[in-house]
Amino acid sequence: MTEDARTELERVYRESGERLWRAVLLFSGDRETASDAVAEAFAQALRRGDEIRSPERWVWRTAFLVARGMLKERRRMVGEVPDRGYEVTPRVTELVDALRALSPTQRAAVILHYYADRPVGEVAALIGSTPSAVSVHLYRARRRLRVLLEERDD
Amino acid sequence: MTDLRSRFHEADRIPAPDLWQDIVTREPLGPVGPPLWPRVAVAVAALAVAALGFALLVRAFLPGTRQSDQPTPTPTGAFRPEPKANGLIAFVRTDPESVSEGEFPLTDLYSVEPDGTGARRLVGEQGFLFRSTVAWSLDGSRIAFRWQGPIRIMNADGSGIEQLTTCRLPDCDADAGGDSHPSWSPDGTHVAFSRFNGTHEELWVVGVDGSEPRPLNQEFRAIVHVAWSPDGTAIAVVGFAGPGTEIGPDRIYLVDAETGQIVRTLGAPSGLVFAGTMSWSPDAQFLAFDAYREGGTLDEVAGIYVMRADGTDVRLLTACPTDGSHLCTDMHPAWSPDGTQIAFTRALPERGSDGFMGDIFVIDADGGEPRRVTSGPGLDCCPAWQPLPAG
Repeated sequence: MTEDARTELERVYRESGERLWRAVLLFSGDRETASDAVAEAFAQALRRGDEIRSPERWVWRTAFLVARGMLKERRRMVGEVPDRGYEVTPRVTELVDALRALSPTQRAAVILHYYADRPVGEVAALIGSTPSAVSVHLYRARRRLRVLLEERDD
Repeated sequence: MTDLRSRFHEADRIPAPDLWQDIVTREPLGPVGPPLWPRVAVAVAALAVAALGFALLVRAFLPGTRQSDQPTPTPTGAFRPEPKANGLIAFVRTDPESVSEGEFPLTDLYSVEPDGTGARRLVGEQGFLFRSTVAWSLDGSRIAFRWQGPIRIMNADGSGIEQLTTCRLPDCDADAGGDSHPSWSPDGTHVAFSRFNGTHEELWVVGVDGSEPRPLNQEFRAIVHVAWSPDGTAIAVVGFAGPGTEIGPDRIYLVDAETGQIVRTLGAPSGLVFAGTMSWSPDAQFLAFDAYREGGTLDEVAGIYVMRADGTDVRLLTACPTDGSHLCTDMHPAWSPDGTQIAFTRALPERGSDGFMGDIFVIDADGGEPRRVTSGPGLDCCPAWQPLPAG
């Protein structure tokens, strides 16, 4: 790959890598999965180099795909975001627990929309769905999360 | 939903590790990422080149045919659509057992008779970016669809695939959506579509020979559906337009097909939220759309609604029944060319682990019992009805 492509990818990592890592953490509920998925996505992007026209979107989609595959393979959801050495508010822990109640597609849609601030059409492109389906996913996820989070707040 | 958004952003306080050193020394596990240009793309490109060459030859030797280097006339004035009969229903089929390189199931483009017979695969194994609105030309001879960034067109039988648009940065970001939601002008000369440029979506128009692609309106933050009006004067856009970066609830915007100006905005009817798809009645008097009732119970379903084109006389046409143990969703309405029926996707979550699998159904435009058209293995979605000459 060219030096320019590598420099551009490092810029993408410095600008959005942390947010991507947190998004995948919310999706997977597991620090190790988040780190593996993000590192794998960027490593693949490095290998593909100049083939990738829009590295930022590409690594976002790939990281979620990798995480989804890891979760499927491991058949587990740890869901314990707090880890020794990390300070996490109970409200974030509650959110991650509530997210576990959603289907993977709903979870990905709601994280990409409400955390990564992606519009519905882009979420549809990222998760391989239609805008209508994403809208309904978001609606249901919102309703479900509201109920679950209110229960926990009580 | 600011509260939920702010709740999510509390996660910003979680310290993230610096993975860059791991990234640069890591040996990638394998090709899990989205395919960039799979072999089928090469085949499609070769077919497109061959078809283009053949088309140019034919045009060069046939008198009276338009040369491809001539400017495509822009649609002017109202177009009076002729009565049409109902042809095939094109739809996108996702088989959950066929998984693409990118971990999402592969999607195929199918056509089927409205009675459910004669299902036929037109284009296969197009990867997970295939899901989008499919649009028939008004003479029913060609189909516009999106795949891997650009819009493509092909004959009704799936032959002669050509690439219509060129999706390149910085105008178009293929990896994040590219060109989507094609809609044919009623006079058959142009295709309208949405283009994602990396930060927001724009409404574009291109000649059917690929000539003169141009942005028609760049005020939109998000576009989730495009539908050219049957009289050709306006293009309906479902999405959100406005300054700033915030994206509000979807609305239906009517954009003048010549000037690109937004001439009317329809908010969702009271108590409803647009889900994202709409369809004109052939006489342009009514709009069918999918929506859900905000503030309802979790079990409340999304359904297909019909209203007059001015936003009045809203009525629920069909909503998937729920027994409380599962949810289902009616979405993606597509009016039949003769105006008597509406095809739609009924998503039945209990059929798939993903929670969103379903089939194509048809219902009379004035209501009644929906009739099943397809029984696919996963999700059959996004129907588009082929117009045929009446009589």
